[in-house]
Amino acid sequence: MDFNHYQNKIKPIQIQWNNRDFRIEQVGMHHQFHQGKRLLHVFSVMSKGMFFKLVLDTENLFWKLEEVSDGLPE
Amino acid sequence: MDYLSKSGFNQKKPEKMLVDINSCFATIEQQANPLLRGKEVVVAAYDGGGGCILAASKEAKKLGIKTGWHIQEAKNICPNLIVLTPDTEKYRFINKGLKKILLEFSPKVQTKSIDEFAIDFKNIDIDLKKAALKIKEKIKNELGEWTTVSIGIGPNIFLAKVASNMQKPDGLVEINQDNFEEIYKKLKLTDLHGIGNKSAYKLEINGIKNPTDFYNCSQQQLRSIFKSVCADYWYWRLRGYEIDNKEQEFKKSFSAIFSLKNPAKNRQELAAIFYQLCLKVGKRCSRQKMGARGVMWWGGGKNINIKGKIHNQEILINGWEIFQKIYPKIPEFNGEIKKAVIAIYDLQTKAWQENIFKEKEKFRKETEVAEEINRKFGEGTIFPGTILTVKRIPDFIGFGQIG
Repeated sequence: MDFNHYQNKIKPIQIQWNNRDFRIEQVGMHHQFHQGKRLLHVFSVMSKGMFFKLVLDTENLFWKLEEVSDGLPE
Repeated sequence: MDYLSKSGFNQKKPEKMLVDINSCFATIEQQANPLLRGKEVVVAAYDGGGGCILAASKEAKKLGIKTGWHIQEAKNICPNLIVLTPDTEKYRFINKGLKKILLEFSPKVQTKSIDEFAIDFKNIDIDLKKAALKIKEKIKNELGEWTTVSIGIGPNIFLAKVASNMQKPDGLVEINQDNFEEIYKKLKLTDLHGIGNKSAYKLEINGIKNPTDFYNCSQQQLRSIFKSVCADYWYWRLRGYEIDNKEQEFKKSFSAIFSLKNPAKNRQELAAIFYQLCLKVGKRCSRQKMGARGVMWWGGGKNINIKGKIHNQEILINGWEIFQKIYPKIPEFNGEIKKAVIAIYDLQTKAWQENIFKEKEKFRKETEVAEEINRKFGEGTIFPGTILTVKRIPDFIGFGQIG
Protein backbone atom coordinates (compact mmCIF):
# COMPACT_ATOMS: atom_id res chain seq x y z
CA MET A 1 0.00 0.00 0.00
CA ASP A 2 1.19 3.48 -0.83
CA PHE A 3 0.34 6.53 1.25
CA ASN A 4 0.86 9.98 -0.25
CA HIS A 5 0.97 12.40 2.65
CA TYR A 6 1.01 15.42 0.34
CA GLN A 7 -2.34 14.52 -1.14
CA ASN A 8 -3.50 12.53 1.89
CA LYS A 9 -4.28 9.58 -0.37
CA ILE A 10 -3.78 5.86 -0.02
CA LYS A 11 -3.49 3.40 -2.86
CA PRO A 12 -3.03 -0.37 -2.89
CA ILE A 13 0.11 -1.39 -4.82
CA GLN A 14 0.09 -5.16 -4.84
CA ILE A 15 -2.06 -8.01 -3.63
CA GLN A 16 -1.43 -11.69 -3.21
CA TRP A 17 -4.26 -14.00 -4.15
CA ASN A 18 -4.26 -17.75 -4.79
CA ASN A 19 -0.47 -17.79 -4.22
CA ARG A 20 0.02 -15.30 -7.02
CA ASP A 21 1.19 -11.71 -6.85
CA PHE A 22 -0.92 -9.13 -8.61
CA ARG A 23 0.56 -5.69 -9.09
CA ILE A 24 -2.29 -3.16 -9.27
CA GLU A 25 -2.41 -1.71 -12.79
CA GLN A 26 -5.44 0.54 -12.46
CA VAL A 27 -7.66 1.82 -9.68
CA GLY A 28 -11.11 2.14 -11.27
CA MET A 29 -12.67 3.75 -8.24
CA HIS A 30 -11.90 4.49 -4.62
CA HIS A 31 -14.92 5.23 -2.53
CA GLN A 32 -15.69 5.32 1.17
CA PHE A 33 -18.71 4.75 3.32
CA HIS A 34 -19.66 4.41 6.95
CA GLN A 35 -21.03 1.26 8.50
CA GLY A 36 -22.30 2.80 11.68
CA LYS A 37 -19.28 4.79 12.88
CA ARG A 38 -16.83 2.46 11.13
CA LEU A 39 -15.26 4.02 8.02
CA LEU A 40 -14.58 1.64 5.15
CA HIS A 41 -12.46 2.41 2.09
CA VAL A 42 -13.32 0.43 -1.03
CA PHE A 43 -10.80 0.07 -3.86
CA SER A 44 -12.01 -1.31 -7.17
CA VAL A 45 -8.78 -2.34 -8.89
CA MET A 46 -7.55 -4.24 -11.93
CA SER A 47 -4.50 -6.42 -12.45
CA LYS A 48 -3.53 -9.00 -15.07
CA GLY A 49 -7.01 -9.00 -16.59
CA MET A 50 -8.67 -9.59 -13.22
CA PHE A 51 -10.88 -7.29 -11.17
CA PHE A 52 -10.59 -7.12 -7.38
CA LYS A 53 -12.71 -5.26 -4.87
CA LEU A 54 -10.67 -4.57 -1.76
CA VAL A 55 -12.10 -3.16 1.44
CA LEU A 56 -9.99 -1.49 4.12
CA ASP A 57 -11.61 -1.30 7.54
CA THR A 58 -10.16 1.78 9.22
CA GLU A 59 -11.16 0.55 12.67
CA ASN A 60 -8.85 -2.47 12.71
CA LEU A 61 -6.83 -1.76 9.51
CA PHE A 62 -7.78 -5.17 8.10
CA TRP A 63 -8.03 -5.61 4.35
CA LYS A 64 -10.76 -7.81 2.92
CA LEU A 65 -11.04 -9.14 -0.62
CA GLU A 66 -14.74 -8.82 -1.33
CA GLU A 67 -15.00 -9.63 -5.01
CA VAL A 68 -12.92 -11.18 -7.79
CA SER A 69 -14.05 -11.30 -11.40
CA ASP A 70 -12.74 -11.68 -14.91
CA GLY A 71 -15.30 -9.27 -16.40
CA LEU A 72 -17.06 -11.98 -18.37
CA PRO A 73 -20.75 -12.89 -18.11
CA GLU A 74 -21.51 -15.82 -15.81
CA MET B 1 -44.75 36.46 -11.27
CA ASP B 2 -43.88 39.25 -13.71
CA TYR B 3 -44.29 36.76 -16.55
CA LEU B 4 -48.06 36.50 -16.11
CA SER B 5 -48.64 39.52 -18.33
CA LYS B 6 -46.43 38.12 -21.13
CA SER B 7 -47.28 35.59 -23.79
CA GLY B 8 -44.05 35.06 -25.74
CA PHE B 9 -40.93 33.07 -24.97
CA ASN B 10 -38.78 34.20 -22.03
CA GLN B 11 -36.33 36.81 -23.37
CA LYS B 12 -33.83 36.42 -20.52
CA LYS B 13 -30.49 34.67 -20.95
CA PRO B 14 -30.75 30.99 -19.87
CA GLU B 15 -29.63 30.56 -16.28
CA LYS B 16 -30.68 27.02 -15.40
CA MET B 17 -28.67 23.87 -15.94
CA LEU B 18 -29.54 20.22 -15.53
CA VAL B 19 -26.79 17.62 -15.13
CA ASP B 20 -27.69 13.99 -15.66
CA ILE B 21 -25.27 11.05 -15.25
CA ASN B 22 -25.58 8.85 -18.34
CA SER B 23 -26.84 5.32 -17.59
CA CYS B 24 -25.98 6.13 -13.97
CA PHE B 25 -25.65 2.81 -12.12
CA ALA B 26 -24.22 0.96 -15.13
CA THR B 27 -21.70 3.73 -15.90
CA ILE B 28 -20.53 3.80 -12.27
CA GLU B 29 -20.04 0.03 -12.35
CA GLN B 30 -18.02 0.37 -15.56
CA GLN B 31 -16.02 3.17 -13.94
CA ALA B 32 -15.20 0.95 -10.96
CA ASN B 33 -14.42 -2.14 -13.02
CA PRO B 34 -12.48 -1.32 -16.20
CA LEU B 35 -13.06 -4.87 -17.47
CA LEU B 36 -16.74 -4.03 -17.96
CA ARG B 37 -16.10 -1.01 -20.18
CA GLY B 38 -17.36 -1.36 -23.72
CA LYS B 39 -19.52 -4.33 -22.72
CA GLU B 40 -23.26 -4.78 -22.43
CA VAL B 41 -23.89 -4.35 -18.70
CA VAL B 42 -27.11 -3.91 -16.77
CA VAL B 43 -27.77 -3.25 -13.11
CA ALA B 44 -30.91 -5.04 -11.99
CA ALA B 45 -32.91 -5.26 -8.77
CA TYR B 46 -31.74 -8.88 -8.54
CA ASP B 47 -29.89 -11.20 -10.90
CA GLY B 48 -32.66 -13.75 -11.62
CA GLY B 49 -34.49 -13.78 -14.97
CA GLY B 50 -37.41 -11.81 -13.50
CA GLY B 51 -35.17 -9.08 -12.06
CA CYS B 52 -36.09 -5.61 -13.23
CA ILE B 53 -33.39 -3.61 -15.03
CA LEU B 54 -32.59 -0.37 -13.20
CA ALA B 55 -29.89 0.86 -15.58
CA ALA B 56 -28.39 -0.31 -18.85
CA SER B 57 -24.93 0.67 -20.13
CA LYS B 58 -24.72 2.70 -23.33
CA GLU B 59 -23.55 -0.47 -25.14
CA ALA B 60 -26.65 -2.35 -23.93
CA LYS B 61 -28.86 0.59 -24.87
CA LYS B 62 -27.50 0.47 -28.42
CA LEU B 63 -29.02 -3.01 -28.70
CA GLY B 64 -32.38 -1.62 -27.59
CA ILE B 65 -32.25 -2.81 -23.98
CA LYS B 66 -34.22 -0.46 -21.78
CA THR B 67 -34.68 0.35 -18.11
CA GLY B 68 -37.69 -1.47 -16.68
CA TRP B 69 -37.24 -4.62 -18.77
CA HIS B 70 -36.88 -8.03 -17.16
CA ILE B 71 -33.43 -9.60 -17.41
CA GLN B 72 -34.75 -12.51 -19.44
CA GLU B 73 -36.13 -10.14 -22.10
CA ALA B 74 -32.74 -8.44 -22.34
CA LYS B 75 -30.89 -11.76 -22.47
CA ASN B 76 -33.02 -12.81 -25.43
CA ILE B 77 -31.47 -9.90 -27.33
CA CYS B 78 -28.01 -10.13 -25.80
CA PRO B 79 -27.07 -13.59 -24.44
CA ASN B 80 -23.70 -12.25 -23.20
CA LEU B 81 -25.32 -9.60 -21.06
CA ILE B 82 -23.49 -8.92 -17.78
CA VAL B 83 -25.95 -8.55 -14.93
CA LEU B 84 -24.97 -6.81 -11.71
CA THR B 85 -26.93 -6.06 -8.57
CA PRO B 86 -26.91 -2.52 -7.11
CA ASP B 87 -24.04 -1.32 -4.94
CA THR B 88 -25.83 1.58 -3.31
CA GLU B 89 -22.84 2.97 -1.40
CA LYS B 90 -20.94 3.42 -4.66
CA TYR B 91 -23.80 5.37 -6.22
CA ARG B 92 -24.27 7.58 -3.16
CA PHE B 93 -20.55 8.33 -3.16
CA ILE B 94 -20.66 9.47 -6.80
CA ASN B 95 -23.80 11.48 -6.09
CA LYS B 96 -22.04 13.33 -3.26
CA GLY B 97 -18.88 13.79 -5.36
CA LEU B 98 -20.83 15.28 -8.25
CA LYS B 99 -22.73 17.62 -5.95
CA LYS B 100 -19.42 18.83 -4.48
CA ILE B 101 -18.16 19.65 -7.99
CA LEU B 102 -21.37 21.49 -8.92
CA LEU B 103 -21.30 23.55 -5.72
CA GLU B 104 -18.00 25.03 -6.90
CA PHE B 105 -19.95 26.68 -9.74
CA SER B 106 -23.11 27.80 -7.95
CA PRO B 107 -24.41 27.67 -4.37
CA LYS B 108 -27.89 26.78 -5.65
CA VAL B 109 -27.65 23.08 -6.47
CA GLN B 110 -30.77 20.99 -6.12
CA THR B 111 -30.51 17.18 -6.00
CA LYS B 112 -33.35 15.91 -8.18
CA SER B 113 -32.47 12.23 -7.82
CA ILE B 114 -29.47 9.92 -7.44
CA ASP B 115 -28.25 10.84 -10.94
CA GLU B 116 -29.68 14.28 -11.59
CA PHE B 117 -28.98 17.80 -10.37
CA ALA B 118 -30.54 21.17 -11.20
CA ILE B 119 -28.33 24.23 -10.86
CA ASP B 120 -29.50 27.82 -10.71
CA PHE B 121 -27.03 30.42 -12.00
CA LYS B 122 -29.21 33.43 -11.22
CA ASN B 123 -27.09 36.51 -10.46
CA ILE B 124 -23.89 34.64 -11.34
CA ASP B 125 -21.92 36.16 -14.18
CA ILE B 126 -20.74 33.09 -16.04
CA ASP B 127 -20.91 31.66 -19.55
CA LEU B 128 -23.04 28.55 -19.00
CA LYS B 129 -21.62 26.63 -21.96
CA LYS B 130 -18.07 27.18 -20.76
CA ALA B 131 -19.13 26.24 -17.21
CA ALA B 132 -20.72 23.05 -18.55
CA LEU B 133 -17.51 22.06 -20.32
CA LYS B 134 -15.52 22.73 -17.14
CA ILE B 135 -17.97 20.58 -15.14
CA LYS B 136 -17.50 17.74 -17.62
CA GLU B 137 -13.73 18.04 -17.35
CA LYS B 138 -13.82 18.08 -13.54
CA ILE B 139 -16.06 15.00 -13.51
CA LYS B 140 -13.56 13.14 -15.67
CA ASN B 141 -10.66 14.16 -13.43
CA GLU B 142 -12.29 13.68 -10.07
CA LEU B 143 -14.94 10.98 -10.51
CA GLY B 144 -13.35 8.99 -13.29
CA GLU B 145 -12.68 9.05 -17.01
CA TRP B 146 -15.58 6.74 -17.87
CA THR B 147 -18.19 8.83 -16.06
CA THR B 148 -20.07 11.01 -18.52
CA VAL B 149 -22.94 13.40 -18.04
CA SER B 150 -25.46 15.03 -20.32
CA ILE B 151 -25.96 18.70 -19.60
CA GLY B 152 -28.95 20.75 -20.57
CA ILE B 153 -29.14 24.53 -20.37
CA GLY B 154 -32.37 26.46 -20.51
CA PRO B 155 -34.30 29.42 -19.17
CA ASN B 156 -36.13 27.10 -16.74
CA ILE B 157 -35.44 23.68 -15.22
CA PHE B 158 -38.04 22.02 -17.41
CA LEU B 159 -36.37 23.11 -20.67
CA ALA B 160 -32.93 22.33 -19.22
CA LYS B 161 -34.22 18.80 -18.61
CA VAL B 162 -35.60 18.56 -22.16
CA ALA B 163 -32.21 19.77 -23.45
CA SER B 164 -30.27 17.23 -21.35
CA ASN B 165 -32.35 14.41 -22.84
CA MET B 166 -31.70 15.48 -26.43
CA GLN B 167 -28.10 14.36 -26.69
CA LYS B 168 -26.97 11.22 -24.92
CA PRO B 169 -24.38 10.22 -23.88
CA ASP B 170 -22.04 13.09 -22.99
CA GLY B 171 -24.29 15.78 -24.49
CA LEU B 172 -24.47 19.52 -24.12
CA VAL B 173 -27.54 21.30 -25.48
CA GLU B 174 -28.92 24.75 -24.82
CA ILE B 175 -32.50 25.82 -25.42
CA ASN B 176 -32.97 29.57 -25.66
CA GLN B 177 -35.18 32.19 -27.28
CA ASP B 178 -33.31 31.85 -30.59
CA ASN B 179 -33.57 28.09 -31.08
CA PHE B 180 -36.65 26.93 -29.13
CA GLU B 181 -38.93 26.89 -32.19
CA GLU B 182 -36.49 24.79 -34.17
CA ILE B 183 -36.06 22.40 -31.21
CA TYR B 184 -39.81 22.07 -30.59
CA LYS B 185 -40.20 21.03 -34.24
CA LYS B 186 -37.81 18.12 -33.72
CA LEU B 187 -39.46 16.79 -30.56
CA LYS B 188 -42.43 14.55 -29.91
CA LEU B 189 -44.97 15.32 -27.18
CA THR B 190 -43.64 12.44 -25.08
CA ASP B 191 -40.14 13.96 -25.21
CA LEU B 192 -41.45 16.63 -22.88
CA HIS B 193 -40.78 15.55 -19.32
CA GLY B 194 -44.14 15.02 -17.63
CA ILE B 195 -46.06 14.12 -20.79
CA GLY B 196 -46.64 10.37 -20.86
CA ASN B 197 -48.61 8.35 -23.36
CA LYS B 198 -51.94 9.15 -21.68
CA SER B 199 -51.38 12.91 -21.64
CA ALA B 200 -50.06 12.81 -25.21
CA TYR B 201 -53.24 11.01 -26.31
CA LYS B 202 -55.38 13.58 -24.50
CA LEU B 203 -53.55 16.40 -26.27
CA GLU B 204 -53.66 14.68 -29.65
CA ILE B 205 -57.41 14.18 -29.61
CA ASN B 206 -57.66 17.91 -28.97
CA GLY B 207 -55.61 18.68 -32.05
CA ILE B 208 -52.23 19.18 -30.36
CA LYS B 209 -49.96 16.84 -32.25
CA ASN B 210 -46.48 18.10 -31.31
CA PRO B 211 -44.65 20.53 -28.99
CA THR B 212 -45.01 23.34 -31.56
CA ASP B 213 -48.83 22.98 -31.47
CA PHE B 214 -48.60 22.75 -27.69
CA TYR B 215 -46.63 26.00 -27.54
CA ASN B 216 -49.01 27.78 -29.90
CA CYS B 217 -52.05 26.75 -27.89
CA SER B 218 -53.75 29.55 -25.96
CA GLN B 219 -54.11 29.46 -22.19
CA GLN B 220 -57.90 29.16 -22.59
CA GLN B 221 -57.58 26.14 -24.89
CA LEU B 222 -55.19 24.45 -22.48
CA ARG B 223 -57.52 25.11 -19.56
CA SER B 224 -60.36 23.42 -21.42
CA ILE B 225 -58.15 20.36 -22.05
CA PHE B 226 -56.47 19.97 -18.64
CA LYS B 227 -59.31 21.38 -16.54
CA SER B 228 -56.83 22.19 -13.79
CA VAL B 229 -54.01 24.51 -12.86
CA CYS B 230 -51.70 22.22 -14.88
CA ALA B 231 -52.87 24.08 -17.98
CA ASP B 232 -51.23 27.29 -16.75
CA TYR B 233 -48.14 25.41 -15.64
CA TRP B 234 -47.65 23.96 -19.13
CA TYR B 235 -48.30 27.31 -20.75
CA TRP B 236 -45.50 28.97 -18.77
CA ARG B 237 -43.13 25.99 -18.82
CA LEU B 238 -43.11 25.89 -22.62
CA ARG B 239 -42.40 29.63 -22.70
CA GLY B 240 -39.33 29.19 -20.54
CA TYR B 241 -40.65 30.70 -17.32
CA GLU B 242 -39.70 29.01 -14.06
CA ILE B 243 -42.51 27.34 -12.17
CA ASP B 244 -40.80 24.08 -11.13
CA ASN B 245 -38.02 25.52 -9.03
CA LYS B 246 -39.64 25.09 -5.66
CA GLU B 247 -38.12 22.33 -3.61
CA GLN B 248 -41.17 20.68 -2.15
CA GLU B 249 -40.99 21.78 1.47
CA PHE B 250 -42.89 18.88 2.92
CA LYS B 251 -43.80 15.67 1.21
CA LYS B 252 -47.33 14.43 1.65
CA SER B 253 -46.43 10.74 1.65
CA PHE B 254 -43.52 8.34 1.44
CA SER B 255 -43.36 4.88 0.01
CA ALA B 256 -40.81 2.12 -0.41
CA ILE B 257 -41.05 -0.86 -2.70
CA PHE B 258 -38.92 -3.97 -2.96
CA SER B 259 -38.85 -6.76 -5.54
CA LEU B 260 -37.64 -10.00 -4.02
CA LYS B 261 -35.18 -12.37 -5.58
CA ASN B 262 -36.17 -15.04 -3.06
CA PRO B 263 -39.92 -14.75 -2.56
CA ALA B 264 -41.32 -14.56 0.98
CA LYS B 265 -42.99 -17.87 1.72
CA ASN B 266 -44.39 -17.29 5.18
CA ARG B 267 -45.59 -14.59 7.53
CA GLN B 268 -42.23 -14.21 9.27
CA GLU B 269 -40.33 -13.66 6.03
CA LEU B 270 -42.85 -11.11 4.81
CA ALA B 271 -42.74 -9.37 8.20
CA ALA B 272 -38.94 -9.02 7.92
CA ILE B 273 -39.32 -7.33 4.54
CA PHE B 274 -42.04 -5.02 5.79
CA TYR B 275 -39.80 -4.17 8.76
CA GLN B 276 -36.98 -3.03 6.45
CA LEU B 277 -39.40 -1.02 4.34
CA CYS B 278 -40.94 0.53 7.49
CA LEU B 279 -37.47 1.64 8.62
CA LYS B 280 -36.84 3.16 5.20
CA VAL B 281 -40.02 5.22 5.08
CA GLY B 282 -39.75 6.04 8.79
CA LYS B 283 -36.25 7.43 8.27
CA ARG B 284 -37.32 9.57 5.30
CA CYS B 285 -40.24 10.89 7.31
CA SER B 286 -38.09 11.64 10.38
CA ARG B 287 -35.66 13.59 8.20
CA GLN B 288 -38.34 16.18 7.57
CA LYS B 289 -39.26 16.06 11.28
CA MET B 290 -42.65 14.52 10.69
CA GLY B 291 -44.62 11.49 11.74
CA ALA B 292 -47.36 9.58 9.94
CA ARG B 293 -50.93 8.76 10.79
CA GLY B 294 -51.73 6.50 7.87
CA VAL B 295 -49.93 3.35 6.79
CA MET B 296 -50.68 1.19 3.79
CA TRP B 297 -49.01 -2.12 2.98
CA TRP B 298 -49.14 -4.51 0.09
CA GLY B 299 -47.45 -7.79 -0.73
CA GLY B 300 -48.13 -9.54 -3.98
CA GLY B 301 -47.13 -12.50 -6.09
CA LYS B 302 -48.68 -15.10 -8.32
CA ASN B 303 -52.29 -15.58 -7.20
CA ILE B 304 -51.62 -13.89 -3.89
CA ASN B 305 -52.38 -10.41 -2.70
CA ILE B 306 -51.97 -9.26 0.87
CA LYS B 307 -52.87 -5.70 1.64
CA GLY B 308 -54.21 -3.47 4.32
CA LYS B 309 -54.17 -0.01 5.74
CA ILE B 310 -54.58 1.66 9.08
CA HIS B 311 -55.27 5.20 10.06
CA ASN B 312 -53.93 5.86 13.50
CA GLN B 313 -55.18 8.48 15.90
CA GLU B 314 -51.69 9.11 17.19
CA ILE B 315 -48.70 10.00 15.08
CA LEU B 316 -46.29 7.16 14.35
CA ILE B 317 -42.83 8.61 14.71
CA ASN B 318 -40.46 6.01 13.33
CA GLY B 319 -40.13 2.77 11.41
CA TRP B 320 -40.29 0.68 14.57
CA GLU B 321 -43.61 2.15 15.56
CA ILE B 322 -44.99 1.76 12.05
CA PHE B 323 -43.88 -1.88 12.02
CA GLN B 324 -45.34 -2.48 15.49
CA LYS B 325 -48.73 -1.33 14.17
CA ILE B 326 -48.78 -3.47 11.06
CA TYR B 327 -47.12 -6.63 12.39
CA PRO B 328 -50.23 -8.07 14.08
CA LYS B 329 -52.20 -7.49 10.88
CA ILE B 330 -49.94 -9.53 8.60
CA PRO B 331 -51.81 -12.79 8.00
CA GLU B 332 -50.47 -16.32 7.59
CA PHE B 333 -50.51 -17.25 3.90
CA ASN B 334 -49.73 -19.93 1.36
CA GLY B 335 -47.87 -18.86 -1.72
CA GLU B 336 -44.96 -16.68 -2.73
CA ILE B 337 -44.78 -12.92 -2.27
CA LYS B 338 -42.49 -11.33 -4.86
CA LYS B 339 -43.06 -7.65 -4.29
CA ALA B 340 -43.70 -5.65 -1.14
CA VAL B 341 -44.69 -2.03 -0.63
CA ILE B 342 -45.10 0.19 2.41
CA ALA B 343 -46.55 3.67 2.11
CA ILE B 344 -47.16 6.23 4.83
CA TYR B 345 -49.47 9.18 4.44
CA ASP B 346 -51.28 11.87 6.40
CA LEU B 347 -47.93 13.19 7.61
CA GLN B 348 -47.96 15.52 10.58
CA THR B 349 -45.26 17.56 12.28
CA LYS B 350 -43.81 15.93 15.35
CA ALA B 351 -45.21 18.56 17.69
CA TRP B 352 -47.47 15.98 19.27
CA GLN B 353 -48.98 16.30 22.71
CA GLU B 354 -47.14 14.71 25.59
CA ASN B 355 -48.40 11.19 25.77
CA ILE B 356 -50.26 10.47 28.97
CA PHE B 357 -49.47 6.77 28.79
CA LYS B 358 -46.00 6.20 30.15
CA GLU B 359 -45.66 2.83 28.43
CA LYS B 360 -46.00 4.46 25.03
CA GLU B 361 -43.46 7.09 25.92
CA LYS B 362 -41.07 4.36 27.06
CA PHE B 363 -41.41 2.60 23.69
CA ARG B 364 -40.62 5.81 21.85
CA LYS B 365 -37.51 6.40 23.90
CA GLU B 366 -36.37 2.79 23.50
CA THR B 367 -36.74 2.89 19.73
CA GLU B 368 -34.92 6.21 19.53
CA VAL B 369 -32.02 4.63 21.43
CA ALA B 370 -32.15 1.57 19.14
CA GLU B 371 -31.98 3.85 16.09
CA GLU B 372 -29.03 5.69 17.59
CA ILE B 373 -27.22 2.38 18.20
CA ASN B 374 -27.94 1.30 14.62
CA ARG B 375 -26.60 4.60 13.33
CA LYS B 376 -23.43 4.13 15.36
CA PHE B 377 -22.78 0.43 14.83
CA GLY B 378 -24.53 -0.19 11.52
CA GLU B 379 -28.07 -1.00 10.41
CA GLY B 380 -29.42 -4.24 11.81
CA THR B 381 -27.38 -4.21 15.03
CA ILE B 382 -30.65 -4.04 16.93
CA PHE B 383 -33.87 -5.30 15.36
CA PRO B 384 -37.22 -6.66 16.57
CA GLY B 385 -37.14 -10.20 17.94
CA THR B 386 -40.17 -11.02 15.78
CA ILE B 387 -37.92 -11.24 12.70
CA LEU B 388 -34.97 -12.89 14.44
CA THR B 389 -34.96 -15.98 12.23
CA VAL B 390 -35.10 -14.19 8.90
CA LYS B 391 -32.30 -12.86 6.72
CA ARG B 392 -32.22 -9.12 6.08
CA ILE B 393 -32.96 -7.64 2.68
CA PRO B 394 -30.19 -5.60 1.05
CA ASP B 395 -30.06 -1.82 0.95
CA PHE B 396 -31.67 -0.26 -2.12
CA ILE B 397 -32.27 3.08 -3.79
CA GLY B 398 -35.70 3.88 -5.10
CA PHE B 399 -36.29 6.06 -8.13
CA GLY B 400 -36.07 9.71 -7.24
CA GLN B 401 -34.39 9.01 -3.91
CA ILE B 402 -30.87 9.09 -2.62
CA GLY B 403 -31.26 7.81 0.91
